[in-house]
Amino acid sequence: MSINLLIAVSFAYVALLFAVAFAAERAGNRGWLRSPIIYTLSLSVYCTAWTFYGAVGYAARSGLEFLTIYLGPTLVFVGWYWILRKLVRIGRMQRVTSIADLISSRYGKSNALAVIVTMMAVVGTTPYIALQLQSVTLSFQAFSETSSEGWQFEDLNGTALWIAVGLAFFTILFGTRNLDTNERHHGVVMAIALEAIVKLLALLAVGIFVVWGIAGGLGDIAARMDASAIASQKFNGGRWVGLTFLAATAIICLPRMFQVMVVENSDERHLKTAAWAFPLYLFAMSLFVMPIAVMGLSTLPEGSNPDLFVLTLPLAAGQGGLALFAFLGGFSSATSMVIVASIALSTMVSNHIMMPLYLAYTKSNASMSGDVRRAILMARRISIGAVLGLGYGYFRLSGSGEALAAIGLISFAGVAQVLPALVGGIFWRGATRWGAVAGLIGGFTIWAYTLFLPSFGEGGLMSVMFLADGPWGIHWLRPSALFGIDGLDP
Amino acid sequence: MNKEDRPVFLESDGYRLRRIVDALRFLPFLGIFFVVVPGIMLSGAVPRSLSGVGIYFFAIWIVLILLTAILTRVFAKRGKETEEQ
Repeated sequence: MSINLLIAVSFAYVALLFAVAFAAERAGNRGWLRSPIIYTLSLSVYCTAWTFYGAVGYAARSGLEFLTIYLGPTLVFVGWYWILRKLVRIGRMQRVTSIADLISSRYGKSNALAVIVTMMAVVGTTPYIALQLQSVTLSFQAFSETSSEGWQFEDLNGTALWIAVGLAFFTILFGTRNLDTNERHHGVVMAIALEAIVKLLALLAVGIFVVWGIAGGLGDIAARMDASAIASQKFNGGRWVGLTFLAATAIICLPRMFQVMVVENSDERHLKTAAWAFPLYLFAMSLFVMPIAVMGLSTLPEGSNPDLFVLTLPLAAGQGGLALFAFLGGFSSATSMVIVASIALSTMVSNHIMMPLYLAYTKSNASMSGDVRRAILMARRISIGAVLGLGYGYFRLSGSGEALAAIGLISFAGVAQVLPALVGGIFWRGATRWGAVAGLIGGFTIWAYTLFLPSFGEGGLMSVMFLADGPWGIHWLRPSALFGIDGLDP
Repeated sequence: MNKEDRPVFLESDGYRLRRIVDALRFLPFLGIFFVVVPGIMLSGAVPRSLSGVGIYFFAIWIVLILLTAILTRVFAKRGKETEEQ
């Protein structure tokens, strides 16, 4: 398997995505482009590289616990009549452009609130973007290690940088083509739907190959599963419930999920298809995760990275073509997440932070006559660049050895802080602006202190001593065991 | 139309629709019960058969998907009929 072929195929694939996005943009609002199926497929930005590579790694480490990440959203979609229906209807009627916009409009269009939510979303999403960049570079590396030419990828940071630049280019091109009051992007949605199909098929193909190609069918897999090291792990009920809830929260609060679910929704009825079709997609995505993890553990040499089993299993079996397909699947999951997340974040940053500043500044020295469209588009483009730059920065800063799943969970927990304000805004008449502000800031501070800042690794932003003994030696203020609550999730 | 031909109680369609909505509302709680309760029951123990537990969760999952699909379909169809009247 030559690395040059890999690069060529990736470029061809990216070109195809551009073509699809362009064609869909030209076709505009026509029939099947806006069907419930496309809507459901676009929801699959939930399945990022974290799902594609990370779920197998997670399963290899903690067994069935990975299921919680997909069961949570399933429960939310099964219960669509409670929350999602309201969200989509409010979003459509009030022409909501982002989750920050929704929350602020539920509390009397408070821009302060929107700014807080925007900041939280940017900080919470940054690790996630870094995670995507990391997964693509890691998969490149996995290929180059087995490459016949022995050509080594020395410069991982360079690879990540190029990917970030390429993604920024795509997003700016199709995310800021024109200003639409609905903030809908046909081209982007179409490209993401295509990527959704590619990643599902790729994972299924690897799964089928592993179960019937390497192992001897389902019975053999079940036997190996029960004999593997995962089977002797204790089941942690607290984590099980906690993670299910966290994932359920994340699917509502993640800025990118809000973007595809509410903002890009063109017809409320599509939700009725997505209510069962999206859980079905998640079901198919997780079907072969456990078999791949088990086979990876039992056939690959000790110490291989379980996060890359999806790639390394076919590679080890000499199936170059399948590995290439798997690589494209991982690439798709990473890129679609980054594209949608940066569109969602740039909408928030430009609408709630940059434009108010710009308007305040221009009002003082000129009597502008209306046309701020160029300014808005410019603000969008700058914020897309900035968001990707932040993601790249985090990638460089965090010791990139960290397991994929850990970063993903930190990010989930970050955006989950928005839920109380959101639910309060929708269901509770008595909710007030200051209550929401206090709740958001409180939750965010604790999250940053206990999860986000330590994620930079020991000796990153917090010193080793700080992490071990707490600030100024105050033991009960340690980030990993605030108020002496020890032994919970990392 | 004479009196006997009419249904005894008006709005039987609306009644059916509301019961379907009730079922839809109940579904996530059913799901939470079958996902969360076994999770707590298994807590702290090493499951006897990992594959068995896995198959259980996947089975619950597909049943939930099927129920949602059926109920949502019926709801969409009935909802449309009532709207048109």
